[in-house]
Amino acid sequence: MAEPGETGAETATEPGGVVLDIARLDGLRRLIGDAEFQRLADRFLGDLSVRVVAMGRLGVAGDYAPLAREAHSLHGTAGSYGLATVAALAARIEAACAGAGSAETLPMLAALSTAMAASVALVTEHFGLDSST
Amino acid sequence: MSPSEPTLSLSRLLYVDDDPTLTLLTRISLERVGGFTVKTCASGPEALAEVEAFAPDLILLDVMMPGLDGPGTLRALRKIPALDSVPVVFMTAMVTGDEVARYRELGAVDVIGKPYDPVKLPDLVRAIWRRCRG
Repeated sequence: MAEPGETGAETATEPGGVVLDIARLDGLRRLIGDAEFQRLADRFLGDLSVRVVAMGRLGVAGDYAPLAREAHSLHGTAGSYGLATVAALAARIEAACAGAGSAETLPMLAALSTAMAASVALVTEHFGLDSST
Repeated sequence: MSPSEPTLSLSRLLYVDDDPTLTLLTRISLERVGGFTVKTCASGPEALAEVEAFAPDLILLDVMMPGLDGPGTLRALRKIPALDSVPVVFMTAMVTGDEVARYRELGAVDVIGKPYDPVKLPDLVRAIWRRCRG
């Protein structure tokens, strides 16, 4: 199998323990330029918030099959954008939905929401992004 | 040259994934970083409708999609004579040994694990191309 993306050596960590692969995002910004990076980040960070809120609703409703699909998708997407903690939490939620621990998803979803907010703040601050867009 | 004849160089990539945010990142990676010509499709049926006109050198295919999933799309692609030699690579977070073996049995030349590094993805795709065309 081809090697999946690896976590870069350079990471940023918030006091709350949220890990972000800065090297990956920095490398991408250098290659595509600031304007395209801003456009990409706007799209991803906005989408991330919508997805996490939707997942929270699915968790409260006990709709574990669609929640597992959303978590699976978020794992791949957030990880590819370098949001390591969000990706890891999404993978845990997917596994919990598939197993007997569906009731464990609510605290995991709360942790995901917290990690998402911290990750968005960290990306916005580190890259000096215009958060109003 | 007809689409069914294997090309020596890798230029045209078809990327199929239902996640628009990941598709945007992947398109930027493959086009801007890798220099490829990329067509993206959001579903298996859309890919099947577009693939012959686009004539890709290689297809990158998400596994878990609503409706027609990646394996189902691959099976349908293989029924199109003009595309029977076009390599297909699955892209998935489900990459245990058993799953990778199953994807290969289905006809995928390789599997790229999600998440992936968008800076490194083009080189990964080229390496797979060299292996399957070597």
